[in-house]
Amino acid sequence: MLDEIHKAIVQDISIGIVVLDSGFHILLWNKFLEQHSGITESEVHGQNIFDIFPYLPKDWLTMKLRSVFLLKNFSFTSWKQRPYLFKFFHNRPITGTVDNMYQDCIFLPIQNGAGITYACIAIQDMTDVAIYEQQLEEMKEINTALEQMVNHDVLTSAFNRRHVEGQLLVEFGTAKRYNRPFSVLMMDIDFFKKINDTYGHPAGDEVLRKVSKIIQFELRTSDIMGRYGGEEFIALLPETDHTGTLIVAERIREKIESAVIAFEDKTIRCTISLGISYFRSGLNDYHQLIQEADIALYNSKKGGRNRTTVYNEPS
Amino acid sequence: MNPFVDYNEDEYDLLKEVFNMAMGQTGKDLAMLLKVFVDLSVPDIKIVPAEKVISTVINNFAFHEDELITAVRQTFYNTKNKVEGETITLFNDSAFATVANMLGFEDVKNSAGHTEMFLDMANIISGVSMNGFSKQLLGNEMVFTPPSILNQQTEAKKLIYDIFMRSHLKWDYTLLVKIKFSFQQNAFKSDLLILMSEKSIETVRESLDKQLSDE
Repeated sequence: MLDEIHKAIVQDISIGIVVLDSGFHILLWNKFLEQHSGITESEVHGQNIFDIFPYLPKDWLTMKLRSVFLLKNFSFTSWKQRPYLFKFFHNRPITGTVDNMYQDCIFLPIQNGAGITYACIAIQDMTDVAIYEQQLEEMKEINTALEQMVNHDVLTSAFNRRHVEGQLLVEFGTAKRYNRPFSVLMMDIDFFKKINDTYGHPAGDEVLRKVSKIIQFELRTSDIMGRYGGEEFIALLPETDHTGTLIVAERIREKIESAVIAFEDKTIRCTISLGISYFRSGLNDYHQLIQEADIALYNSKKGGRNRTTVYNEPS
Repeated sequence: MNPFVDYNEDEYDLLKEVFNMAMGQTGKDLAMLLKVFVDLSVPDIKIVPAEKVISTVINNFAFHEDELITAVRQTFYNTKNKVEGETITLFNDSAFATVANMLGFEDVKNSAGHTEMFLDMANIISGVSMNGFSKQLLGNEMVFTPPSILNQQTEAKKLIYDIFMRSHLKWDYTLLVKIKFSFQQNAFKSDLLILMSEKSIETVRESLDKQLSDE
């Protein structure tokens, strides 16, 4: 009984299923494939897949199938790199804007009771997803191009990450060359996702803007500050050791803790966690300063949030 | 969260033996498939806390810190034995020509083609290695998800720092295995990083202890 159910599922499921033996002959060709290829199972049964579809890239596909037969490896293709393996009709004969079905394929090694390996290729129709994602990609490319042209984060008007990292390289070099004190301060709004969920994203944006302004206000003119990530900010404090930075950090933290952010008819409160790292002679790499500030920030979160931690070198 | 307990000496010894045998077979399998002699390093195996992953990876790295590399990730899991994790395969981008020929690609001119080559190569390296390990220790094979690109054409050191930033990792410990692959006198080289989840640290320990007590 289960056998019949298995058969029905393989035939009726909205995924293409084809099974090949090690000679590349087709042993199974399900209804999905019949519908989308216009070729029936009886026309292909026992035939070599390269004879039926001469357009298939033989060397590459043979290689993939060899890894399945010889090594029992899984293999995959994605529409993102290769729009399709088989030239099939997609599921929008009237409104579709592309010629062929976009496909994701999974190659599965299947063994029968006698230990013989077959390759099962499962073909998923990704046409809809592909069209949406391509539109999204175009928008992202435009956004990225814009960001490259400016140094500022569009939402908060603070510097963007790219610019601050450029400055970090410079300031680190200076600190190292002249052996000057230099600190990095990383800040992250606590429970920001909850703020977005509770008050809505436009309110969340206003929180980001206000927090950014407060941080900016508490820093000195020689400090460089920017938006590092979604709810993350970074500040570079030249000529400042970690004791001095701790004082600034606590000032920022307290101001944000006591701030009341008004948005439409709502009043929102929030806190931030902070992590401080500082230049020591022997440090050769500005990445390490970021990593250490990040670890200190992580410890602030773990320690209960709404606090500042200075990076502690493990002994 | 349970307090963490490292593997003891016997468990590490057995785990190293398991990987050595698995990788020996992997070398043979890759050579048969790709028709080229494969050089594999002795696997580096350690349970590592999240904040130490970066330094562990960068120590004894196949690449110079400024070399442009691409990182491909792929999930593996063995539902029967509850072992899961991800592999991260790192490639030097100048290995294009070597890889293309081996995998049956024709003249690869566009970036989608390059990407697909690296995905295919990572899939083979990762699949063969993890299946080998799984058969040796757990007695059956792994299941895999499609590989995807983590980072493309980025300076090696920056890439590692980006991927393993402590505050982005939602776990505290991992079982980290590092293996270096090279063929054609280093025309192609790759670092395979295997990271198993915290849950898996315990289930692997159980399998190791079972084999140890059977000896």
